[in-house]
Amino acid sequence: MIDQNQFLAQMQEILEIEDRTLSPDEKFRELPEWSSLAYLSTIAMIDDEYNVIISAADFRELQTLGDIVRAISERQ
Amino acid sequence: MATQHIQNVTVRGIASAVPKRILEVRDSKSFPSVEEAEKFIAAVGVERVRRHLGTMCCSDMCQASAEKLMVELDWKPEDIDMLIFLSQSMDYILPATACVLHGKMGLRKDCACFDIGLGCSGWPYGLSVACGMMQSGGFRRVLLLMGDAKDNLSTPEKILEAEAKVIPLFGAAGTATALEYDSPAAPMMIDTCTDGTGYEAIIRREGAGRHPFKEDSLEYVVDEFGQTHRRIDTTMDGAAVFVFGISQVPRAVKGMLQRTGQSVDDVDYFLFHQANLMMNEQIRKKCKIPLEKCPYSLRDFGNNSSASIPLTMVTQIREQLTNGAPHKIIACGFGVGLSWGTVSLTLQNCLIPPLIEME
Repeated sequence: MIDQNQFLAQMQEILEIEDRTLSPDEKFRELPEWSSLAYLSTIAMIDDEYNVIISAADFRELQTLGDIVRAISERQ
Repeated sequence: MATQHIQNVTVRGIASAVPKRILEVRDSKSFPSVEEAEKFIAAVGVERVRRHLGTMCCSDMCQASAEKLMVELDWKPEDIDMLIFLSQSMDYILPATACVLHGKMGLRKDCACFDIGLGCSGWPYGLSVACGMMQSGGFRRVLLLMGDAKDNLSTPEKILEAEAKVIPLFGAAGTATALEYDSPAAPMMIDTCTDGTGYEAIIRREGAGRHPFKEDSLEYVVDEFGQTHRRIDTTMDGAAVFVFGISQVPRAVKGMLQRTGQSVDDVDYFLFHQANLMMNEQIRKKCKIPLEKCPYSLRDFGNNSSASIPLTMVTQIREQLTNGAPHKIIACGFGVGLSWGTVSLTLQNCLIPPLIEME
């Protein structure tokens, strides 16, 4: 089972966000810290931590951090 | 299943040539800030690439590599039974670059020459075709040439302009692998795979049949991934390629280990196409390969498409490979196509001249 809070903490680390806490409703693409490198780091982290690889086409459909959590749990 | 067992071909030599000119990634004007440049270098792992200013084609570097090997192996032009040029940087749209090279190198008329239009998966794929044809014993000495040199559509001024706009990741290199029919030889196993549904992941959209060259093909555009390029340049959906690499390559390597009855410990070197550091490291970790078995040429040469694997041998482990001992190798090339190939082979007494640098 994926722990949502743990995932949010992992995303904060990738995005180097220290001054605030990310919420599941966060539209990650709108964050100034989001970039193509952050995207690749996210795919790699999900692969490492949850043993799941989300295809680029499926990832494109995801809007919020909560959507990513759901996508991971559907594939576990 | 597309798997070959080769029992009677030996790799006699491997050579690589690159342009002498070095482009430092840190100095590139394509980054908005020094911070961005450092971030890119840390993630992608490329610090410098070799580029020419329109002064050479891929085939020139391949020819220099091949002729160097021929001198050292004492192979005469009349000894060559087949020359394969595997590249997507050809001299002309037609004729085949292999034919051009045949004429320039003075090869016999009863010599098979043809091109293969593949990129990053080239070394295993080229070996597959060459060794497959050599099985009959009808081709004894074969030159397998491959590499990448960017397009030459530009003048030196235009190339400098492009370098200032496009983040450098790709380098230029031409390589030669000399193969000889040899019975019995150390066994080789080759797997060749494709996923054509991903053909758009790495693509040069304009300039050929589907979308011919037109007036605005040379204009710079910013694509949906935020990259600046012209429609005649190679473009990449980085995320799609990343997902492809980390999904398929570990599977391919593990499959090869299983089929050849080897463990990671049994293999001396795992040679991967040099895509980018993040992807290659993710692949290495997933395969549980220690870093010392996984040489990188990425930092000093960037991504050189089909040349990456031979270039890594020449520039990173040449001394080890030429110490007389047998070296077990698994090499996996993956990328444009999408296409990937994996080969397991043993190199012993393989001749590897030092890197050739061309003006």
